[in-house]
Amino acid sequence: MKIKVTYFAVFREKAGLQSEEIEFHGLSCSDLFNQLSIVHAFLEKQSGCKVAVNDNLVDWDFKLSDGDDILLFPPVAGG
Amino acid sequence: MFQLQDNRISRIDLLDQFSNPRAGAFITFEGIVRNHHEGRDVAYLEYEAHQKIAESEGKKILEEARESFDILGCYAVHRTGKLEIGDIAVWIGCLASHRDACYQANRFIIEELKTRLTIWKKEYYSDGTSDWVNCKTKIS
Repeated sequence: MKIKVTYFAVFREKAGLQSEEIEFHGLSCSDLFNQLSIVHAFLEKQSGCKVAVNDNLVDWDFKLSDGDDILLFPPVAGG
Repeated sequence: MFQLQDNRISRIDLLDQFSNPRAGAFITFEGIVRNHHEGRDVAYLEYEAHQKIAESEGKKILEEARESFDILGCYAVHRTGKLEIGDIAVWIGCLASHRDACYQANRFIIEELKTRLTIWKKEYYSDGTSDWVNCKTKIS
């Protein structure tokens, strides 16, 4: 499937890009995170990060579909 | 009500919004930009946010506070953009008949905001380096 991934904060800086369209052969957001962590050398633990699909926060086991728009959030630091 | 804003937070303007004859307690929390972090001299910082999700989560947190604590109202504002030392980064106000619920609600809101809002803080240090807070990568 083809999906779009948008990066924020330290993920954007490590990936060296704001967003990209990729061909993804896994199933879940967790699979995607693991794949992208290897590609872009992300060191952050998945448990400390957040993911949104089509502007809704979802759990890491959420199943992705062709055309999904994924937002990948590193550990937040508000306050 | 929750909002993100990229201009200076004015506590005076916020205080004007709180008035209720049933209230016996009014508690505010202000998160302030400090000039040091883990032994490093902070010159200024920047907040980046995913606005839509941050505002949605912020509203949910305030709703949860109203449902969980016996308060009359609550309000929170979080900054984005560049902040100087001493600027208010986050402002939370709670109004209640009695102080105990008011203190608890305010504490609940700041702790939830810190872990749930899609906001990231980048500190810029006086030695010219910078770092994403809560992230391990150092960026010069």
